[in-house]
Amino acid sequence: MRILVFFFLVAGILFGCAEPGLQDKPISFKQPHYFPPINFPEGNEPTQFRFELGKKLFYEKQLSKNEDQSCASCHRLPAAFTDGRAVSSFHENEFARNAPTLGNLAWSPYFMSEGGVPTLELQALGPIHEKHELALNMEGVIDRLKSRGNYSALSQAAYGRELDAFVITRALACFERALISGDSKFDRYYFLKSNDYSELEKRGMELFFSERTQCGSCHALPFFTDYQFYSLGLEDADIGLERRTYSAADRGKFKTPTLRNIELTAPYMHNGSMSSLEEVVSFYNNGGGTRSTKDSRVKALNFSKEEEAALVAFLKTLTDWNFVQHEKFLSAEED
Amino acid sequence: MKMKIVNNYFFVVLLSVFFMACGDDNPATPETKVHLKFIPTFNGQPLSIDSVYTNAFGQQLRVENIQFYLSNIYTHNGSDSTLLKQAFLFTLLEPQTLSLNVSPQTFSSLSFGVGVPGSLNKNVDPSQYANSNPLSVQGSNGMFWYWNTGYIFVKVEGRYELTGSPNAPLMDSYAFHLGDDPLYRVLHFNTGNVSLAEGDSRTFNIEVAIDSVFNRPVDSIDLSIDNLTHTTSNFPLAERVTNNFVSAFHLQ
Repeated sequence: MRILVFFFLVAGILFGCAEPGLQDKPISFKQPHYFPPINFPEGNEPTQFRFELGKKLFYEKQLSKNEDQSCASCHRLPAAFTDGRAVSSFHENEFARNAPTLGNLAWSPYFMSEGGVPTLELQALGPIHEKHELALNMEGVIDRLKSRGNYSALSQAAYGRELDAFVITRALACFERALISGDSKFDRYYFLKSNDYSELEKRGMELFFSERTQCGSCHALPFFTDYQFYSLGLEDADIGLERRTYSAADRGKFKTPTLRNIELTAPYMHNGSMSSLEEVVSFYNNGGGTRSTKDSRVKALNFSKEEEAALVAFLKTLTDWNFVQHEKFLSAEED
Repeated sequence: MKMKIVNNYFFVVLLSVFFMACGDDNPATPETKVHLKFIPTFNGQPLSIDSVYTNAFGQQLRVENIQFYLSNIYTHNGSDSTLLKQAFLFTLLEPQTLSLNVSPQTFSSLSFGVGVPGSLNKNVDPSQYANSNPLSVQGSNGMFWYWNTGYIFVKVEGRYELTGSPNAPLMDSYAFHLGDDPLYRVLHFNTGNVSLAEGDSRTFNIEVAIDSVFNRPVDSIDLSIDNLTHTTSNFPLAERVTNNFVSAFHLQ
């Protein structure tokens, strides 16, 4: 009897911190062969519970001060993780911007329109603290969540530690890295050699990648962005990259946005000032805006009406309908 | 029966080992300490958040918040340097003392950075630190920029009034949020020869003359023009206020 007591006592001391029940396992993200391999950060390789915890946090309204907003409020799956609004701040301010799509973040070398955030993990801290977004803070989030639902158990299972800033940032990043979009009509035609592509779409594609338009030099394959910073000449109060570099030469420059799923992410531009793809193509056709920092490639193109229509038709082939209807990315409430 | 008694003793000793394995068996050794006492003043008097001060332009102001990072606190003896503390976050509206355990040593000067050095600033993830670390998400207490990652080195905030009328309420706000690598400054202070044996302690009083933020012979701040910078929104002003702020430190 005494031996049994002794055994359980020692076992209790040695294993007292173990979380019973949940056993995590590595997972892989399905990605097209024409995308490069993902370099996962050390310690945040994807697992089942990291993904599940990240998704749960992404849709969690307790992350906001008033318990009424989540990441998904501005990043809605049917709109390719945008929100259809011109700018997404909940309050007027000069740096309110159009919500970016979240597809293919796993390959982005930095985040935000000025590129001031080096990792997806760090990016997750911004909206939680930003007073114009979720407007809470990490301490408040942890206080709310640690005794709520199965957050603590998921945290232990996914990262082997209590729910904290480390866990929350990594889990959100893990979920966001899973948002891979590369199965559009264009992909099937261009990479997989499908025949399903109209003459108008082909004409638009030729124009897009031509020397004449040079659209593809910034919106480069395979992600339709080169992740660099340019000005289209748009004039407004937002100084863009200059805010980070202090250089007037960078005024009005913003990171090239991806064009994948562009049909679903209206309105367009950093300030949401253009409501349709037709308006965007017309803007380029007329030579862009007037700001002095405008990139030299943005100049009048003299498109015919048919060419404008062809470019719009091509852009609409970049929609990945499987991505925006993928139930794996929906919260349990929206499944 | 004798065997049972032996077993009982064995059981108790074994449990004691489990429960006390982490205990500190070393006898207490006297600690050697350096205390850095930072004393905020305005025009040579203790700073008061209730006081209304007048700057070189006759503008009235009140100081409501001062926060800043000190980092890389070193003592120096010739070419030898000893790191005392990596980073510390001050809220300095009244005197604060930073007490540091040090090894017995001799030194003739000390230095620290105002702000956070580049190696700890850009591209650093604050969620990697324990909450008790002043560089952590929670420990930084609002002193981190999330849109362009990096620490806010210094915050000086308060209210001002431009007319100089004695009874006018101070309605307008000023805020200087200073950061980014180019604004990191290292200050050196000669201490004279200091020799600390085991168990010794030494206190250094460092005045932080907050009036220098606003009034300096070389660069006074006109609050009617220069009352707001988040560094990136007005870098030239941030640089001026940083230079004024670091000039406020005096070893007494």
